[in-house]
Amino acid sequence: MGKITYQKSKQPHPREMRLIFRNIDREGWDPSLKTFLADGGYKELKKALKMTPGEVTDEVKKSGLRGRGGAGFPTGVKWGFIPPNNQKPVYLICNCDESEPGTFKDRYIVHQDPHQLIEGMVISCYAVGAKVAYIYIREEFPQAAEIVEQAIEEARKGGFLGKNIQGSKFDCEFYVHRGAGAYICGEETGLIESLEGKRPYPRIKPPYFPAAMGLYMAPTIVNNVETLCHVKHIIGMSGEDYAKIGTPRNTGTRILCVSGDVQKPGYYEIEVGKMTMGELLNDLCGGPKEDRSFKAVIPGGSSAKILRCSDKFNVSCPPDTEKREINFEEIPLDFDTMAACGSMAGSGGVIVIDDSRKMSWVLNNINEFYAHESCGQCTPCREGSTWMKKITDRLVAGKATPSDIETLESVAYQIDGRTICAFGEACAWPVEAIVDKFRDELMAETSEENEALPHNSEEEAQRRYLSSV
Amino acid sequence: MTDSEPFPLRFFAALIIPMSDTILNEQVASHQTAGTKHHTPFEITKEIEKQADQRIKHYPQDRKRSAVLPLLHIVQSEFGFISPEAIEWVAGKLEVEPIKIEEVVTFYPGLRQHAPGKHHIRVCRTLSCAMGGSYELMDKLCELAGIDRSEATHHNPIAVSPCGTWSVEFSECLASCGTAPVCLVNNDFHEDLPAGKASDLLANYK
Ligand SMILES: Cc1cc2nc3c(=O)[nH]c(=O)nc-3n(C[C@H](O)[C@H](O)[C@H](O)COP(=O)(O)O)c2cc1C
Ligand code: SF4
Ligand code: FES
Repeated sequence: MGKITYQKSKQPHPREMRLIFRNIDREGWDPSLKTFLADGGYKELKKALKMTPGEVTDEVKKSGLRGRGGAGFPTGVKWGFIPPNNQKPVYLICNCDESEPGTFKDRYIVHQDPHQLIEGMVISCYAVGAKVAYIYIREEFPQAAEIVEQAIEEARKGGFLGKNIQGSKFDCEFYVHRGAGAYICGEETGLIESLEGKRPYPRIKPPYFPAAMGLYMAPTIVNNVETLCHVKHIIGMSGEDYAKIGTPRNTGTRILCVSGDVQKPGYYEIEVGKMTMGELLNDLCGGPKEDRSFKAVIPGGSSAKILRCSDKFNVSCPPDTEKREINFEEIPLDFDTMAACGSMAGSGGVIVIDDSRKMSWVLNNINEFYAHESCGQCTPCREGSTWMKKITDRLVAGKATPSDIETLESVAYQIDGRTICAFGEACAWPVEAIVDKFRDELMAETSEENEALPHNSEEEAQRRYLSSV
Repeated sequence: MTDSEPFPLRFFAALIIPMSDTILNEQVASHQTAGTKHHTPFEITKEIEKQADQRIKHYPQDRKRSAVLPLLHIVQSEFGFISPEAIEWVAGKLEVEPIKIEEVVTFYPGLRQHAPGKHHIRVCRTLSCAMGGSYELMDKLCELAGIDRSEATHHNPIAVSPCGTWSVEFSECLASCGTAPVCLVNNDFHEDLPAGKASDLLANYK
C-alpha cells in the first residue's frame, strides 16, 4: 500500500489559527500513540473523566460549537435531545463519509492525526453515555481505515479505550465501519441504515430523529469528524474560553477547503467570521490564476448556492446589527452571514470558478454528480436529478432550446422541499442559483432552431414510438 | 401463477418476466471479463472465515446483518469482485436471505459484480478535478492502457483492457479537491496528476 502524502512545505499562513490542524503536515509528526502522548495527548480525556457527563455537555453547550458536517446545528443542543428516561443503549457515530464535493478536511485528520479524533470521541461518548461508537469511513479511504483501526488498538492498549478507561469505571468500545462509495451514506439516517446492513435509504424525519430513534432504534448521536475533534479542545480550554474564538454565535475555528481556480488551493483553518471572502481568496490563496479573474464561488460544498463575484449583498455583518451593502469580497466567513447572503457555509468546501469557465459546463458536471448519487426513494429527486442532467447535457452539446432553461428551473423548484432527505435541496439549489444568476449566459447557448426533435438517435426512437401509439 | 388469475395479468407477466431477466443478466449479474484470469476463484479459507467472524463481533449479537459491508469488503479484496457464490456465503454467515445481500451489492458503486483488471484505476470526475483536467487524465490512461471506454454504462461503469491488466472507472469526488486531479489505483491514492504524468503512474504498477 502506498504511503500517505505529507505536504511538508505547507506552512500555516500567519492569518490562520491552527487548532484542529495543528499537527497536519507537521515536521516530525506521525499518527502513532507515542507521538501523540509526547505532544500532551489524552490530557483532555483525563480532565473530562474527572467531571460528570452533564458537566462535559454543559461545556460543549457553553462553547457554542456548531456542527461542521453541513447543517451547522449546535452540538451541545443535539446531545441534549437524547430522551431523559431512555433505557436503551446509546450510540455515537462519527461521520467520516466526507463526500460533499469540494470538501477534503476530514481526510487529513483520519490519515494523520487519528488519536485527536479518538480522544474527542471518547470524551463525547462519556458525555452522552455511549458505550459503543462506530466510525463510518468512506470506502475510498482504505488507508485511513487501517490507520484508524491501528490507532484504536493502540488506544485500547494504552488504557484510553476499552474497560475502565483511566480507572474511571467508564467502558467504551470503538469500531470502524467502511462504506462502499455512496454519497447518501453521509446523510445521517442513510448512514444509520447502511450501518444496519441495508440499502442506505434515508429515513423520514419526523419521527426518525437519530437522537431519539437512531441505530437499532436506539438513541444515536451522529457528528462529523471535525466537530468531534473540537470537543477535545473545548474541554482543554473550557467552553467559555472557546466561545471567545471567532464571533458570537459563530464560535471557534473552522477548516476551509479551497479548490478550483486559485493560485494556492488547499486547507486553511481560520477563526470563524474573523476573515472575509476576499482575504481568504486573495491573501491566503494567492488570488486568481494569471490573467484571470474570479467569476463565481461555491462557498460550502457543491450543494451550496453559488455566489456571483460581481454581486452586492445587503446584510448585517457581526458584530454590527445594522444592515449595509457589501460586495462579494467583504462577506465574512461565518455561518449566519453566509446564510443571509443566500447561500450556506455548509461543509467548508470553497470551490472557485474563474472567467475561463462556462457555467453550463459547471452546472452539467454538478448535475451528473447528483443524478448519479440520488438514492432513488423519492420520485422528485430520482427523476428530477436525472432530468436536470439530461437538459444540461443538451445544453453543453449545443442542442438546448430557450424553453429548456425554464424547464430546468421548474424541475429544480419541484424537487426542493418535496423529498425525504436534504439531498433534494442539495441537488436543486445549484440549479436554482446558477439559472437565476447566469440566466443570460445559459440562454445565449440555446437556440430556437433546436426546437425540432430529434436531437439524437434516442429521441428519434422515442418519437417513432410516440407517433405509433 | 394460477389459471384463475384474469387474462390481462398473465399476459403482461409473460411479457415482463423474460424482459426483466435479460436486463438483470446484461446489466448487473456477474459475467466474465478480460480481468477474470487475474483473480482467484471464490473459495472460503479458514483465514477468511476467521476474519469474517471477527468483523461480525463488532455488532450486537442479534444485529449480525450489520456486518454485510465488512464481509463484502473481505470478499472483494480477496477475489476482486462479488460473485453469486459469495453472495450466498455472506447470506449464510449472516443468516439472512441472499436477496438481502444482493440488494446491497447492487446499490453501492464501490461493490463490483465483475472482475476488474489486475490494477483498477478510479479517476475522480467531479467539479474541482474536472477543472484540473481529470477527463484528459482519463483519456490518456485509456490510450496508454489500450482501453475502449465507449461500452461503459451506468450499470457497468468499469472498462477493462484486452489483456486484463488494467481497468478504469470514473468515480465521484474523492475528497482531495485541493490537489486535483486525483485518482485511486487499487488502494493507493495519487494526487496532483495531470495527464502528462499518466505514463509515470502506470509504470509504478506491473
Ligand atoms: C445528502 C447529504 C450528505 C451529507 N454528507 C455528509 C458527509 O459526507 N459528512 C458529514 O459529516 N455530514 C454529511 N451530511 C450531514 C449529516 O447528515 C449530519 O448532519 C452531520 O453528520 C451531523 O454532524 P455535525 O452535527 O457534526 O455537523 C450530509 C447530509 C446530507 C443531507
Ligand atoms: S431526497 Fe433523494 S437521496 Fe434523499 S431520500 Fe429522497 S431520493 Fe433518496
Ligand atoms: S472533485 Fe476530485 S477529489 Fe473532490
